[in-house]
Amino acid sequence: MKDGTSATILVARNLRKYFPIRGGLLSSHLGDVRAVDGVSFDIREGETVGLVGESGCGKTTVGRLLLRLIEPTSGHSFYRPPPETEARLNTLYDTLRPFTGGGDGGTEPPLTDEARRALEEIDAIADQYSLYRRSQRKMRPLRGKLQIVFQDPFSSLSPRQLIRDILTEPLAIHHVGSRSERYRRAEELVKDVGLNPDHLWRFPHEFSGGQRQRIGVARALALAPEFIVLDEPTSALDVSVQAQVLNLLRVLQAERGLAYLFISHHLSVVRAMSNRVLVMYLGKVVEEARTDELFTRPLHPYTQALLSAIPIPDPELKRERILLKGDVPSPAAPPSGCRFHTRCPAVMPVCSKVDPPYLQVRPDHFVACHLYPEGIPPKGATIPAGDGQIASAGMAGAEAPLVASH
Amino acid sequence: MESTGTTPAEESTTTKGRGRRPNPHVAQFLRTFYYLRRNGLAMFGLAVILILVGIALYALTLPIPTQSLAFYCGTNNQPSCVPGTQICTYPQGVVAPGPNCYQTPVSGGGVSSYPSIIAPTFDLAHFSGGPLPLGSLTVDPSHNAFFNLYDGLLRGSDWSLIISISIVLSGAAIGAIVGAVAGTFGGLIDEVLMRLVDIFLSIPAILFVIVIIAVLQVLPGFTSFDARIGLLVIGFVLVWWPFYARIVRGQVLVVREQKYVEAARACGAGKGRIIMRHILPNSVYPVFIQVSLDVGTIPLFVGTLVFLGFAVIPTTIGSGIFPEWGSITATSVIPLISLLTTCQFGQCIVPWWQFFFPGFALFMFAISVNFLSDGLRDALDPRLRR
Amino acid sequence: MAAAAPTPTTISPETPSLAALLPETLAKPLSEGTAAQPEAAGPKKQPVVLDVRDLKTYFYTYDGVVKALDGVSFKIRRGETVGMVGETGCGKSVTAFSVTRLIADPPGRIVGGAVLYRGANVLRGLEHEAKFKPMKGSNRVKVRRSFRRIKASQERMVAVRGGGIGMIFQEPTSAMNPIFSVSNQLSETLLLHRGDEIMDTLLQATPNAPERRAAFEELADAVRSGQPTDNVRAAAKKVGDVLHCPSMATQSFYTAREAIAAGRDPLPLLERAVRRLRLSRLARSYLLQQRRLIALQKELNASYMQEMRDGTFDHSQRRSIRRRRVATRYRGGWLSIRGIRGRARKPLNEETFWRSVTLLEGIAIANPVQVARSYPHELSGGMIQRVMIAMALSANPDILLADEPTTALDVTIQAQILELMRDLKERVGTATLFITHDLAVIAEVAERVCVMYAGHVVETAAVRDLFRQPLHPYSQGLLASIPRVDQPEKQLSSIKGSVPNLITPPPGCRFHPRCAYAMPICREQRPPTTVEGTDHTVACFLYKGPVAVE
Repeated sequence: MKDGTSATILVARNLRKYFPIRGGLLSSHLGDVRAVDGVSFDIREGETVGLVGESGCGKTTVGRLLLRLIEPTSGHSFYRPPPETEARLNTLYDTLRPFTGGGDGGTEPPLTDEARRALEEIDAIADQYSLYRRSQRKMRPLRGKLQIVFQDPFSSLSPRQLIRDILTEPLAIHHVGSRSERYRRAEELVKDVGLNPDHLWRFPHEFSGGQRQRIGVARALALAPEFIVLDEPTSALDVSVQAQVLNLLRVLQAERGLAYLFISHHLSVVRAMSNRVLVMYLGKVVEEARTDELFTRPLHPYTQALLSAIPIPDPELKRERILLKGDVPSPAAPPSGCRFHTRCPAVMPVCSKVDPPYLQVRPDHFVACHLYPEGIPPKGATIPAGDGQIASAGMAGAEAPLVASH
Repeated sequence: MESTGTTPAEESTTTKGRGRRPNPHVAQFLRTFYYLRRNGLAMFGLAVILILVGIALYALTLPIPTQSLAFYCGTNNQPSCVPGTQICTYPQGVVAPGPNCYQTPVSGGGVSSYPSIIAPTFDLAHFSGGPLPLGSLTVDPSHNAFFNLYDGLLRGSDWSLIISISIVLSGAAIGAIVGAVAGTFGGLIDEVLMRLVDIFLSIPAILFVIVIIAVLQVLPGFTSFDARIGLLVIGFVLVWWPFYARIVRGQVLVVREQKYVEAARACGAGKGRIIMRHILPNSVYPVFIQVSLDVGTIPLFVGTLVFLGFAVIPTTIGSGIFPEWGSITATSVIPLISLLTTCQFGQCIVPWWQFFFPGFALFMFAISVNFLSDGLRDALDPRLRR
Repeated sequence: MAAAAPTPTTISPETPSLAALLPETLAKPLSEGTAAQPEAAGPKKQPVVLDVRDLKTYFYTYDGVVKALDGVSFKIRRGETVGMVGETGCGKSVTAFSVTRLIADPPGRIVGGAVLYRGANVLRGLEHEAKFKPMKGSNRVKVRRSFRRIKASQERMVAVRGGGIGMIFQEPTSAMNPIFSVSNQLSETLLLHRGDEIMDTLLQATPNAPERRAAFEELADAVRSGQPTDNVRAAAKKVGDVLHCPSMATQSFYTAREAIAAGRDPLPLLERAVRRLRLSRLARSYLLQQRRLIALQKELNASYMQEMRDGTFDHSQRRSIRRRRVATRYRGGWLSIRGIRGRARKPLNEETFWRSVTLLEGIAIANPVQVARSYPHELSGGMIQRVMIAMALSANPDILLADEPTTALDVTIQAQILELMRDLKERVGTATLFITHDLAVIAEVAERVCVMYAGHVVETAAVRDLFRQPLHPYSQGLLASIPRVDQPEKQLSSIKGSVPNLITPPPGCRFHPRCAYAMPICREQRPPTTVEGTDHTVACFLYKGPVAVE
């Protein structure tokens, strides 16, 4: 449920990023790697949105698109539109929905006048609010507000700079304060993340992974951001260090009202940190819901497989594993129709032809799957699986968090 | 393989004294030096270079002597001289009587602005007030200019070092900037710059230098000796910078993808700042290696020029040769050709010392720079740190 | 940009091959040299295959001596999976590398302890390999190494690595040589460790057996009539039996299928396939030569093992082996070096190619022929890791050291690999040391667990006991800090402080600066390992059980 009081920071609609593949003698355009293929979501103040998926699904690219570190091939991302504009945008996109082509090979119906007008209006709103329409100069003040913490603590800090310089650099870029003021701010930042001010005088390679990640967080905090993209911040860290960093992130969020986009493939961590979760597969969002809802009642077969694949630190817990067939297809040549159909245990004939639409199936729970053509599926639905493996999704009313049986 | 090599910083560090921290850059330097010390060859190289630099500095203090000339003749010789053992004095301006005659200095006033080379002699009686051992004459009768090998070595160190280093550093600087710009911006700029680099690289170096110098020398302002040297440097720099551009561009392409560059962009850094502060310092790494190799190669190139007869310093300025190791070596080799044809076996003194010592000095220079830079590269490479 | 071919990961019931390729795994006699167990061997206790005692590995660096492992002890029994858990820097990978003596010698050095593999101490002669001299005024220590002895001990390890102790590594994408095809690399391992089998098979195959026609026709019929794969495989196996060559079963299976799918008659193709078994005289003599060399190598290995066992070896025997080896190699003079190899290699290469295809079948890869022909960069990480597992197991080791095999993989691929390893364990029964930092994976895979912290083993237990009742404060802290998908309200508690600097580790118990229960004695003495229940040992002063006997 949308909390009426927290404002929306970013409204992303239909983001697409295609990377062209060049080859052949004349570097002709062979095709595209469709890293992100139509992703839409909102980021509100103070909330943590989790983005999960495996490698190659495009989640990292989404993070970068939101910060405009790369330019999208198409799509808009609106920065802090006022609530009325946001409502208007939603209406406009709704009218456009039947015109966005679904599935490959399906022709898009020709645009009606109403659709054309809707597009123009969206364009006008984009001129005002879209992140990508701003000039580079106008982007600058926003850079401080939208920050990123990277996955690899080893390569995200320049090896030739002292920590002090790494932390004062954002301030120097934006000409904040005098040099001594910046140094003082660096000291504060370092203390905020739980490190010693003495550490300012060292080089990154003298620190452990967890400490480097904290320094990365400190750098992101330098310009008082309102939204931080956390790109797998703890994947390279050990468990106890991970706990420290996650606790730090939580504390900072509570203190400063930050919004996070938590990108990770560790579902247990995502569950611990996020309010809402989006599941991506090969460039598309396949499911979105509030955290508890997603983990207790996963609807999309991919989500279910993902959840069942997570190892649980309890040797006595036996469960049925949903094993997916094969490996992730290449994003350069995604399968036709539903991209997951080559590995789906519940594949149906329609799946290879038509791309399933993204529908709201339960309150605040969206899924793109032909199993849920519309409306809310009955509770306790059993998904028939190929190869004789049965998976039960959403045991009726049960509190069992996963497909588990003792 | 995990070897707990990274020492995680402790939570509470021991700061020595209040407010006085050990300078981290100094600590880095010391650590690098330690790694360097463990590499014997690098230490040897460093020692040799230091010696050479010392010699060069000393050479700067030497005055340019002026001496008059005399002849020392070998076996086929003027009858009034005892061959092989005596110094025969002739009036100045007289053409050398034979192929094995060398002019030597005698103390007193003279007109030559460069020191002359003295014939080697094992007769120590000649040392008093006169010729030094290991001397040799390089005869250039057309120009009446000679070199005292000893002095030539000394001053040559000066010239060789200055010329090599200035050429290499300028070339590296220009090439690095071009490469960094090409690598960072990519696209059309990259293509254009790289084609430019290719054009420069496709021209044979020696020819190019010759053409440049030959063309530019007619410009006014290139009449003094130093200006000519400057012209030489410019010629070489124009030939040399493309190599560096390529190397740096390659490294830039790698560094550009690193996360800290992206982080800087996320903070709003402009392209210029990113290049100067992040990309360049992390990309100059392979330049070291190339610089070390080139420093040894340049004097050889200069020598080649001289050998080919190209007058680096034309006779209108100074004396056609200037004391630089490469050119001394080359000049010494030229007479050998005629010696081979005119001498009968056993009657010629082949002045091996003329090209051996400058060549050896050059060799030591090149090799020691090479060792040193090898060692530096290993010492600075974080992966090889142990 | 080749897409990785989709493969099924469920181990289909029809894959017999891995076990078929490793017939004697369980029959390998362990009686020789197995240490006599002081504890009474219970009814189900298997003999110990790997006994690590008090292993110490130090790294001599610019900053001082990093005491990566400071007295690590554990045992692995036949067929069991032992998990080794700990965080980065605790020394688990170093342990694995120390067991096989793959530590980079400068700067690392195994300085003490014993690693008993089947009674042979891999670290024999360690004391004589290096001398240490502490340098005054700094933490550094000067190490003078005797390279001759080090080289000798590395040579001895040939007898142990691969065939005795196998290993798979963390980064699958960089574990394979990118310029050689998958089958090439698998063949390399096969030749190295099962070369004698291969040569024997080739030498006594019967390519001209008259019954082969009938077998071919049966196979062709089976494929044509669309019979289930099991039957087709049975028919192919019959072909292999007739020809006395198991790899022909695989080859005929795929050849027939391909031929019929292309609409051609399989019989001539099958005949052509058999041609590779007809050896020329040259090829035969080459194979015999190689066979002899392998036998000699085995003798040498046995001598090495004996040396590692008692420290003595028969000089004359070694000399004779070497002499015979040289004689065998250069027998026939020039021809033997050049001429034979070219032409004679072909049958060997083809045989090992089809054996590698069989191996790939054994790890449930759908199109093994295609995968075998491809290069590592064309395969995904999960696939490569599967290939690495197959490679390691093809050498038929007693122990498999798996160093974080799934850390670099996605969670669904990790599930596939763990499933594969579980299945292989059931079928092949190799003991495994599974090193990881992920306790959840341990819960799935391991039977016993060793928890390591900063170079010490702090707790070892059966996996259930560890999770149900962790004794050591570090294990407790570790378990408390793992986020659990099925327990979302769980507070993530972290252990205060950070991993210590191993150059100047804390005195006494290395965990005491971070321990909530630290007592004065913890600062002074290193806690002994005490036994606190069946097979549950812990190194902590909080527990006062009987001291574990080595």
